[in-house]
Amino acid sequence: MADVAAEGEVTADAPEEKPRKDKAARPWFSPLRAAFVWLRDHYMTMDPRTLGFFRLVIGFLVTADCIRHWMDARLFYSNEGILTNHYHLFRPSSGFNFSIFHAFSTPGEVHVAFAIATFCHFCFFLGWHTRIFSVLSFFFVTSLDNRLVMVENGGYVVENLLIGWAMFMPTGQRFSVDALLRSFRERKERSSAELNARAPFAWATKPYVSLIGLVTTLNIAVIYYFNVVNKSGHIWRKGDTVHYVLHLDRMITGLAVPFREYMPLWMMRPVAWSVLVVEALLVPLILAPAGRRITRPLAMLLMTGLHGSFGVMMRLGPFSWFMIAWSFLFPQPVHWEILGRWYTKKARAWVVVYDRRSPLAFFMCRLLARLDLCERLTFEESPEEDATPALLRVRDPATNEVHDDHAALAAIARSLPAGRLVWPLFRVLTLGLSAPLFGAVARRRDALARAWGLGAKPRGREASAPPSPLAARAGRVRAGLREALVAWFFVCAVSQTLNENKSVPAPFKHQQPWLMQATLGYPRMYQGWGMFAPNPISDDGSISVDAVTLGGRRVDPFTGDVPDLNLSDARGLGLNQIWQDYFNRIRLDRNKVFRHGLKEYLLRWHEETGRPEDELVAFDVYWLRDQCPLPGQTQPYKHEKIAILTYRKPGYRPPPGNPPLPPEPKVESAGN
Amino acid sequence: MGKRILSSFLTIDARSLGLFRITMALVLCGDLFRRWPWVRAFYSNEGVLPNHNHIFNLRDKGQVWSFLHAFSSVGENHVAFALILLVYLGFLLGWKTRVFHALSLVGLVSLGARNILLENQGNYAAVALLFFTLFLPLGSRFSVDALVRSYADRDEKTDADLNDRTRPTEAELAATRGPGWSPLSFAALAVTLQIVIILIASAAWHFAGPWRDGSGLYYALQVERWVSDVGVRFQHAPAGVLKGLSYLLLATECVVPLLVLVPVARRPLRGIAVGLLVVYALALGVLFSLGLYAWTLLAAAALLLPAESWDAFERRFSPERARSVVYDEDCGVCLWLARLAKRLDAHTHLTFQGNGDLSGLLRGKADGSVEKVDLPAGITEELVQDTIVVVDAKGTVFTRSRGIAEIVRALPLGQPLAFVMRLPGISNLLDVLYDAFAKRRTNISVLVGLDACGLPAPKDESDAEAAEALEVPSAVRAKRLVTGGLRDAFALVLFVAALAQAAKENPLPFAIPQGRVLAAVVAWPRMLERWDVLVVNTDEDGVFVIDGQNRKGASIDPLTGAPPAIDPAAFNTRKLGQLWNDYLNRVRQREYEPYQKALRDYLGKGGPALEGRAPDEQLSGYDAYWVKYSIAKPGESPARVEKGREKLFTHSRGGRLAIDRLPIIKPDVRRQE
Repeated sequence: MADVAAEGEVTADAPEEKPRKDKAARPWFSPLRAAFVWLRDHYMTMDPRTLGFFRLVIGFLVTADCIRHWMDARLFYSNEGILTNHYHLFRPSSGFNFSIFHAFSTPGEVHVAFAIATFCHFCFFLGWHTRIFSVLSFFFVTSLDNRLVMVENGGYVVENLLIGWAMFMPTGQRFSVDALLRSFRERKERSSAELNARAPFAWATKPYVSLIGLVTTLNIAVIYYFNVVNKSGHIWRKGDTVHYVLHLDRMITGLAVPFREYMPLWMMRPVAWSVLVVEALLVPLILAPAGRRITRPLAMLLMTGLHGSFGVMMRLGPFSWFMIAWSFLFPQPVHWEILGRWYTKKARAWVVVYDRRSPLAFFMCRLLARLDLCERLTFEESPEEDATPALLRVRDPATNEVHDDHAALAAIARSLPAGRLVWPLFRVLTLGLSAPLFGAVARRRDALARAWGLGAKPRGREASAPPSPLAARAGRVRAGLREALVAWFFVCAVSQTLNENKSVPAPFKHQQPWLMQATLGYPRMYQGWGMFAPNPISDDGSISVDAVTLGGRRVDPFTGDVPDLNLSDARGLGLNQIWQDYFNRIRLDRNKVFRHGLKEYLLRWHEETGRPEDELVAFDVYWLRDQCPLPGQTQPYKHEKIAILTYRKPGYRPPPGNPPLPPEPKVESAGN
Repeated sequence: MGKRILSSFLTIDARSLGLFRITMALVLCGDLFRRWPWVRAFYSNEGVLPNHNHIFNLRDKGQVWSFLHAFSSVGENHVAFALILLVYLGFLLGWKTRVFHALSLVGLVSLGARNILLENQGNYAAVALLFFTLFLPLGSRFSVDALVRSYADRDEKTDADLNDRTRPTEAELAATRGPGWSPLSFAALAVTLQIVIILIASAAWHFAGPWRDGSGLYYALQVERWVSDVGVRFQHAPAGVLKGLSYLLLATECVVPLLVLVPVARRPLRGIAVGLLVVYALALGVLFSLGLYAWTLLAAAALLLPAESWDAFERRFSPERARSVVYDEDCGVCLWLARLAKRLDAHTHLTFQGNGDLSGLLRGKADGSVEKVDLPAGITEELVQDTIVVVDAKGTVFTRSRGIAEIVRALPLGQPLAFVMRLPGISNLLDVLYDAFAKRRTNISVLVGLDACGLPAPKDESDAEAAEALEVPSAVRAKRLVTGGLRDAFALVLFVAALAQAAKENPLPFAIPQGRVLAAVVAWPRMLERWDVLVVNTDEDGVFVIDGQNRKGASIDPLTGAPPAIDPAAFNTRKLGQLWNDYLNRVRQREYEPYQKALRDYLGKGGPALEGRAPDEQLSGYDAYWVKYSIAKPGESPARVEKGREKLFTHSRGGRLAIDRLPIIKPDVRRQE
């Protein structure tokens, strides 16, 4: 059982623990208390290892996502692109729209902003000053979304939510630079005996108890619940969803094309139904209070399979990957123990014999002791009689097999958790020169130790002093405030879920107070879950620009080629998520005001190419739409070409020899 | 000798840096509070310059960046201001000083760049000083960082430890980079030269105008846009006084740079320079509304204080203020407070003695040594168990809150506070508080995690190994060399850029080719280096007057809330302050014409003075004028003579006064129907 301590931490299974106060609660209160204890133990207690690993996963994803956007920074986020910051500030896409990216105008400035954002995300990934960079990551993620709301999809909202919830978790407690530095600070080993005494740090093993555990569990369950109940359309019922989705050329990847071409319809139907079944199954699997040893890994497996297949087949941006990342909150202590036992069996045990005179060797051993989570290494000083010992030597205690220096390091690396993955990466990063490098280090061990000050005796306090009563009290107040904030976010999320999902009965819909709207609106932490619901999209489309340059060339500035105004022969358009969502949204009447930016961009296109003759003297922006083939067929039908924006340079007459400008088509609605 | 001279220019004493940090942070806080009431008018989209309008207007000019551009509504801007305040407070306290210093710079630049029409020389000066000092350890003294570091470095356990005032040597300081460390850096020279440039450039401007004959101050005081309420009263000071002060200000601009650059006799020469600069800054700050300018120079004076002055200040031992403090050595929080008092006691006036040994009384001497004298008769074991006991040089015994007041009195700048603490009533209240604290001191010690009893704590091994720590590993030395080199290289580039910009913007007798890179280096942080402060155009100046009428038909100027003041004798726009006056002076100029539409819209919605008033008091129309006037020679009356008016724009029904007959000077601005 666990006891709530300062900072929301708990002391787990401490034998000296005093009897819980709740056992002595007043009788009328005890059922409520018992319910809370049950809830706390089942849904609000999180393992620090799970949180640490979760941070690694979302830190990596959020960094990658930032770099993905960075690659399109000029076009989508700078004033040389399709939506200038001043125009978006003048006509915000939504209420409560705030983005720090609005402060950055030129491509150079925007690149600086992306560099700062990427740095923050990467520090969060590493777990360096984790809490600060967690908050900054959230700030930059939501800012990026708010800067160009037009390209937002469910994935962006999931990303906002997940990175938002992560702010309330101590994700830097394990597998982080912070944890490593803290362990170095608090445990200053002086001998091999101390290196071998691996009592875990209290802070590294204490489960974390917070309402946020319940919130994240309920949130992911709610996502799947509404994804199932909102998919009530006939296409889902008939099982034709996969067929339609695979024919959405603007969204699919190249991998999806052979599937749609060679997969028979009778095979697609079970796949489509299985999606519904899996999503429906996930709700009980996630919420199950018992048997979690099985249900949670099963849920992880199903989520990874489901979203992994979406992710490789479709360009949905961050959706699939962040949904998979969410499942990394599921592992329970028992799973870590199983994993540990499995790895302990699998990894080879070594006795690490280090140069007893070398502070560098001892420092390396201190580091290895911290990385050796499964305790496969035992440390031993080199014999006194050995005048020239290897910097590091490993010996298999069973076979007496011995490796020295670089070979020893390689053997050690393979025994460490994730070492088999990291070691090749290390080899690549050192350009394959790790062996000579290590040799050089070993030869200059004394000089290097002096250079880094490793020879000095460890100083300072051995362990972190227990917090003073005042600090503990302050910690409890902070934890209370944090829980209150989480509770407020939870209330907001519940309200938003009721309001935003169509399947919720009308009596539950309500007007939100201003503060709630602001809480949800600024970070765009919405809760509408109905991807491909009630039916999948059955019409496909994209934007094509038919432009004429000053030089008389017909060109689509987005491709640089001759305009392709017929998409019916497409086998995937090869557009990334940002492009395809922008094209899909800019056509809508509600985004008409933002076509001004598109027009400005097209008029500046020749500046981008650097050729004055590329100046556009006329262009027509078309939304090309066709209906996906009916089930059992392969050809799309009802091809339409809808002009959504046109331009003719005032007073321009083509020079002799050039064809006349095409007649200006009528601008029509391509959707609301 | 050469090395000493070089080091005297390339280093600034850590105490000077600490004092500068505190004064500059106070100036920044004051500046923020000055702007805060106008957050709606100048920073939000409901004001005179919405963010989208500003970015749009700057689209071709570029090199203006403010994070405040991301904040649109009034509420959002209040949040942004609150964040800036927190940053400034962090800088003031010296907590994570380098981080909060950099963030303060970003905050200040953003405040200026969000609405470039508000800027003046004060912004340029404050940004420049803050930027150059970013490369110096401003948190090395008088800061939370220094205090925390000092507590960690010297863990005094006994009265002997407390009375040990041995200072670390320069070598120790350089090795540990502990409190008091200040590097040899080009940035130190750069910031000093920046102060010199400000003053020399100001002098260059002033020598070209009426300041040469001593009438500069008179003319400057007649400029409605600059003068403060105090300055208005000073307009009628005797001509001799005005002339004398005018010459003094000009002399300061000329003499201070010389005094600062003389490498010898630093203590007296720098002392004079600091004194003159303080007078200069105070005169400008009190007589004029120049925003940050005067107060930034006041803060900058701290940077000119040499180490010799600080050392002399610290050596100033006054036997009358020397006190022996008998504290409860069994009480952790008492020891902690004694350690704090020791750190604040720059003059070593305090000598500490635990209450366990009453065989005599320890008393400090001017040379820093401690002697043991007879215990005054009134001090008993019971007394020292119950209360703190403070004994002065004459043997007078003070206890309870009076003892605390005596300790405060012994500290630098503590006398005024000690005086207040001794006042009847306040001292009684403090006695009650003291007793409450003393009674609970053991519990409080436990509560904050300090030793509750005075069992001698084991000596930390680290003390014995302190000497070892002085040997700086070569990797650390290399890192310091690289970071120091980069720091100085950047400071050098920044300085050259600032110098080139100053040469371009001011009538200085030299020019430096600037190029795009150097121009960008000063343009982004808005270090525009134009030091034409109080450069008077006696022939013509002007004020912005709105002839408005409200729905009741009454004449009102929505800027001031008073009837429009067209007559130069009745001008009242000075009450608007520097921000409004600089804004209005710029927005009327052709260069800033694109900014006028937002002003018109803002005034149409009421303007600053009519905010929140009843609907029938809101404007139904107005005319905007630039009323020009010339300034008469000293002694002539009236001092200001109207030269004419320019009608800038009009709105709806226009104003109510009969001055509406003037044509609009800009034909493209039509009356809005």
